[in-house]
Amino acid sequence: MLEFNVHKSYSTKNRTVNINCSAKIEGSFTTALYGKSGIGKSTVLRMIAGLETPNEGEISFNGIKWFSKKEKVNFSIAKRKVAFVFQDFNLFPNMTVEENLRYASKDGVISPLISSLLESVNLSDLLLNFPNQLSGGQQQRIAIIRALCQEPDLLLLDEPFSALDDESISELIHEIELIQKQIDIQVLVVTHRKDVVLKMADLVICMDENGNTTQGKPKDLLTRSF
Amino acid sequence: MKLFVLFFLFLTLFSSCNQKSEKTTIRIATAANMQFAMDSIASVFELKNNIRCDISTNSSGMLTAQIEQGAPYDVFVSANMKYPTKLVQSGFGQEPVVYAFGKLAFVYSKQLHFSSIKEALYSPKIKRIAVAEKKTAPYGIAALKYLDSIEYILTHPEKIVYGESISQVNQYLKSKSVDAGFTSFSFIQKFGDDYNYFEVDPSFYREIKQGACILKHGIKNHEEESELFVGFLSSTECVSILKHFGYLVK
Amino acid sequence: MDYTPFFVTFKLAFLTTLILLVIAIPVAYFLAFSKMRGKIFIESILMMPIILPPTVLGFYYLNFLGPETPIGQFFENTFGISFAFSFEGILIGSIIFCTPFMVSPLINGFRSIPKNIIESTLLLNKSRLNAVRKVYLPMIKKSIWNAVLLTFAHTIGEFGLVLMIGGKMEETNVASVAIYDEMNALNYDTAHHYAIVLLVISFVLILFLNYLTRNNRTTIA
Repeated sequence: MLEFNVHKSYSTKNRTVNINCSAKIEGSFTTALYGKSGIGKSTVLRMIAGLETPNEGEISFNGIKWFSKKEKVNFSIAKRKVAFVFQDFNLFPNMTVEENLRYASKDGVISPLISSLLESVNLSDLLLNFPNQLSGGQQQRIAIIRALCQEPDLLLLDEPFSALDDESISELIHEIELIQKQIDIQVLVVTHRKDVVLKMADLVICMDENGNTTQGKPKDLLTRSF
Repeated sequence: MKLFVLFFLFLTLFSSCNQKSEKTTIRIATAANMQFAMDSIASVFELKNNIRCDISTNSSGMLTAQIEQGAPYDVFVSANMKYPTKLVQSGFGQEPVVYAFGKLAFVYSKQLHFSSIKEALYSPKIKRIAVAEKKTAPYGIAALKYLDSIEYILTHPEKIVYGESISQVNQYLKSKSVDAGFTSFSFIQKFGDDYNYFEVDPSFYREIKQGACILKHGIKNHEEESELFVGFLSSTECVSILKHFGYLVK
Repeated sequence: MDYTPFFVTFKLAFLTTLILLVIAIPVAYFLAFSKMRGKIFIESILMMPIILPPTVLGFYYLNFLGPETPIGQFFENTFGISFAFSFEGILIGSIIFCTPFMVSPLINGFRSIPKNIIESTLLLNKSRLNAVRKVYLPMIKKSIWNAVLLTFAHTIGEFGLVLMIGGKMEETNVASVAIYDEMNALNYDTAHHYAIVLLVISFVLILFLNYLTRNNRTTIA
């Protein structure tokens, strides 16, 4: 169960951004964090991962407090055990796919689980290739699998589809589902695309300009507003 | 990357193998005008005493500055007395000895013919005249004194080209970048066949007393050898070399 | 012809490059990523030798580190190192002089690493040192080569500073100074030989440098 209530505000050159987001996610399924671009979805995700620190609020996962301003708790990235995938530049360009996976794995050994994941998404043949020899979709799949090498409890995807075309997106969504079938892992995905939310999420958290968050079934929330 | 490192490691090793034998070496700071004569003097000295001479040539002023900054020269063979005296005052040198008197020459191209220096100076065929910088070069000071005495600089400043030291003046002459120049007599000794020249009347400038002295570093590290060298400067062998290169020895 | 000046030149260039590489990597990493205030001043000071004439550098060098200064004497008496008029002297001088040529490409290299890559190493629980060794340095290999060649080439071309703080000793007589001396001694043949060799070496280095910067087909995506 992931529960958070975070607040952060910062100023850029031409505007001040105020981010407020609270949600309570129960059960092990795919949740989408949805909203217009620039609203701070990615920042929320980064705060959950520990890449950024909230000004106020709390984050807890399965009953353990990862962050609490009041109680002065702030777990390091390592302690949170999350997997995180960016929209691009995830893989280390100086290493082959295999080296990327080994580098991410404990003691440099690729676990049988990861091998079987690679097989199920048909990527076993690409082990010796360098990232720049792969398509965008292949790169993202490898990035997700690499993130899983650390045996995380939570998979965070930050706009993982934005560099891809529609066909690759559906393929990737299908493969994320395949992966989820093999390992029981909770996924939180940030996206600004409604079709992606409807296709892959069981639960959606909508952020709006006024700093309100609403939570519900994608079909209920996203079809109603139109 | 490894290849690169290996390659240069090899080069470095190679260069450290290149060290010279363990003969005593003294370092001699030599005024630019003396460099031709010094080559001969040093080789005779080396043969006689089995001491190597490492010769650094520069203008006397620059050498003095470097010596005062702690440059480890043992002996200073200057083009005048002013700089050695200065080093005595600042505690970097011993009392200098006069080893020669320099003679100033006016040198110009073999193709031209003049009956006097003045005729040459005012001739339209001579457009550029090289003179050493007066701040650091004794031969420059002498040349400018002469030119001042005939009020030449006031009337023809555009013809004068300044060289950093007497060697640069020689270079200008050799490369024909200038039509004429004031240099030391040793230049004529070495390249006289390609040039015409006049001796500048010494009454116009104060005689260029050339002094040599043992330096602080020499006293500390190679006292015996340094004294040997300075003594050698007034030996008959050395005097004949100096005379050959156009210096006056009294 | 005496080839010693070339050995001195290459020894100087090699050691300068090697020592500077070791120093410059942490310095460039710090300057590229640190959020410290006043960082811009450190960077500016390190870049000064690009615009300063070697004579200014040489003048201050001798006045602060020369054998007659307190610092110079301290090192001379305690470690037997002389900061001027010796090989160590021109080595230190050329390290200072070449710092911008080594540091600047490395800073640019580090800054060109995408933020996502850097955060990925954090998310994989890698220490900074590990990330630098395994990811960042291999990624900026081209910048490193660039910095190394630039520094090496620049040391070969050094003249004014070596002339001032080297004092034309045998061990500080680099090729560029030797050419100048041979010209002053009117030995044009020797000067010509030295110059030709230096010209060819410099051309090959610059050619290689240009080839490196133009050829983008390295492993960097």
